[in-house]
Amino acid sequence: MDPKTLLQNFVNGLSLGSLYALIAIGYTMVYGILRLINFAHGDIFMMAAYFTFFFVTLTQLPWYFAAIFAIASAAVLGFGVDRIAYKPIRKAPRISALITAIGVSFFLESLAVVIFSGIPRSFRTIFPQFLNEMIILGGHMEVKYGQEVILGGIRFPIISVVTLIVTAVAIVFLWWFIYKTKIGMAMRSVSVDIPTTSLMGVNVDRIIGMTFALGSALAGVGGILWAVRYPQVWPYMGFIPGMKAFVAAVFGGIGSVPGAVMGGLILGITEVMMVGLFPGAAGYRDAFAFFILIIILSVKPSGLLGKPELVKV
Amino acid sequence: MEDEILKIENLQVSYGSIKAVKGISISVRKGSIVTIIGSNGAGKSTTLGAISGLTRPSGGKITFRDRDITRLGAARTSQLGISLVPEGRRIFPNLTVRENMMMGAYNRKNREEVQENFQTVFTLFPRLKERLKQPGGTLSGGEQQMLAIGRSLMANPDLIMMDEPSLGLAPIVVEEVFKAIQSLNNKGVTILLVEQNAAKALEISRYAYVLETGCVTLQGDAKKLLESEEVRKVYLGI
Repeated sequence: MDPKTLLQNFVNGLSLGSLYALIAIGYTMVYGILRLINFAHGDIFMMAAYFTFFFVTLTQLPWYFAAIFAIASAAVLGFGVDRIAYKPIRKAPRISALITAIGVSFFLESLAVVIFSGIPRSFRTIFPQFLNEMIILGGHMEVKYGQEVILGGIRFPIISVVTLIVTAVAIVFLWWFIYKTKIGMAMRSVSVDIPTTSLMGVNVDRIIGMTFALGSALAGVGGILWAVRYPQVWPYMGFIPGMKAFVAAVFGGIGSVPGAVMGGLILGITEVMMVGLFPGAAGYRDAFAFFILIIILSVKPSGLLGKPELVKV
Repeated sequence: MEDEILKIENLQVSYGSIKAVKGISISVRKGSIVTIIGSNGAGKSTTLGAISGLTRPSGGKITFRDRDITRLGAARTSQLGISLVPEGRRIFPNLTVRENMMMGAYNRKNREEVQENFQTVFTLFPRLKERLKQPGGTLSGGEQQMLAIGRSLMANPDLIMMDEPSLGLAPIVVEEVFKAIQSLNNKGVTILLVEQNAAKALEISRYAYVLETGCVTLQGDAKKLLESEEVRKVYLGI
C-alpha cells in the first residue's frame, strides 16, 4: 500500500470506526449500569434512520429538522424499551434480561418490516448531495474518456470527515453530560452501587431510563450518518453494525466509555486496512470483526480498558 | 408518645423461608440516640434495611412522623427525611469526595442551604475538606466512614440511622466517629444506632434494645442496660 492509499484508508477507517464507537457507547453504558447487553441497540440505530427518512418524505421539511426529530425519537424509543421490556424484569436473573433483549431486537426488526416494508429505500435524496462527494487533497483531476481519474492526491468522501466531526462533538457532549451534570453523576453512582444510590433519594429507574435514552440518542446519530454513508435504509441495517459495535465495546472493555470509543476506532481502521491490504478477502470483512472478538475473549476477556469483573462468592 | 418520630410495630422480615426479624417493636423519640445492640445475625441490619426501604418487610408497621412508610421504597423514604449510613460505608469509590456529598444532597433545591451543609460537615470532619477532589475510593477506612456520615448529613435528615459505624476502624478513629455522633445529636438530629461496640454505643445513647435472633430480648434506659448483669456478660465481656 503506498502512503497515499494508506492515508485514504486511514481516514475512511477512522470514520467507519467512529460510527462503531457511537453505537458501542450505548452498549457499554447500559452494560455499565445493568450488566445487560442490550441487543436491541442496533435496531434503535435502524429506527432512527427510518424516522429521518419518513420525516423528510412526509413533511418536506429540511434534513436538519428530521435529524433532530429522529435523534429525539430514538432517545424516547430507548427509554420506552427499558420501561416496557427491561424494567419489569429488573430483579430477574441476568439471562432473562439477555433473552428479552434478543426478543426486543427481533420485535423491532419485524415491526419495521411490517410498518416500513422490507424493501430498502434510498437515502440519497434526503441529505444534501455534497456529503457523498469526494474531497481531493493535493492532486488534480483529469477527465479521460468521460471518466474521472484522480492523479496524485488522496481522496475520501466528505461524509467521512463530517462523521468524524459529528462523532467528536457527540463524545465531548457525552463527557460533559456524564461528568458535569447531576444526572450524569447519578449515572456514575448507579453504575457502582444501585441500593446505595437509592438511599440518596435518587429514583434509580429514572436514571437507568435516562441512560437508555442517552445511549439511544447516540445510536440515532450513528444511524443517520450510516444511512447517509451507505445511502439506503432497510429493517435489518442495524444488525451487522450493532454486532460490530458490540465487538468494539468488548474489545475496549465493556462498561468503559473511553474503551468503547477506542475499540470502535481500532475495529473500523483495521477492518478498512484489511480490505485495503487483501482486496480478495473483502468478502470476509464482517467475519473479521468476529474473529477479533474470539481472540479478545480468549486472550483478554476484560478488554483494553476494562477491569476484570470480580465474582462475589 | 407525643414526640415519637419513628415507631416500629411487630416488624417481620423474611429472606425466603428464613425469618430474620420476628416481630420486633421499637420506638425512637425525637432528638434522642437509640441503640440496637446484638450479635451477628441478630437482625439489626435487616431492621435498618426495612426502615430505609431497601428490604420489604413481610409484616408489621413502620411509622415515621405519623406517616406509614412500611411499603415505601428507599428513594421515597430518603426524601421523607430518613437517612441510612449503610454498613461498610458504601461510599461511591469512583466519585470524588465532593460528588459523594452532592449525591447526599441530590434532592435539595436550595443551593445556599446545601453550601451551609457542606460547612457543617467540614466543621465536623475537617479532613474531608482537604480531600474534596479525591475519588472516594482513595480515602482511608476512617475517612470513608466520615464521608458516609457527611454524605447522609447533606440530605439534612430528621433521622439518621447508622449501621456499625465503628466497624473495622482504628480505636482513635472510633473515638472521633462517636464524638461526631454525639455532636450531631447535640444539634438536634435524632439517631438510631446499630453497633457491635456495645459499651461505646450505650454510653452515648438514651435508650437501647437488645436483639437476639430476630427478637427484642431486652430493652430499657441505656445507662441501666450498661449496668445490667446480662448485658455486661454477653455484650461487654466483663
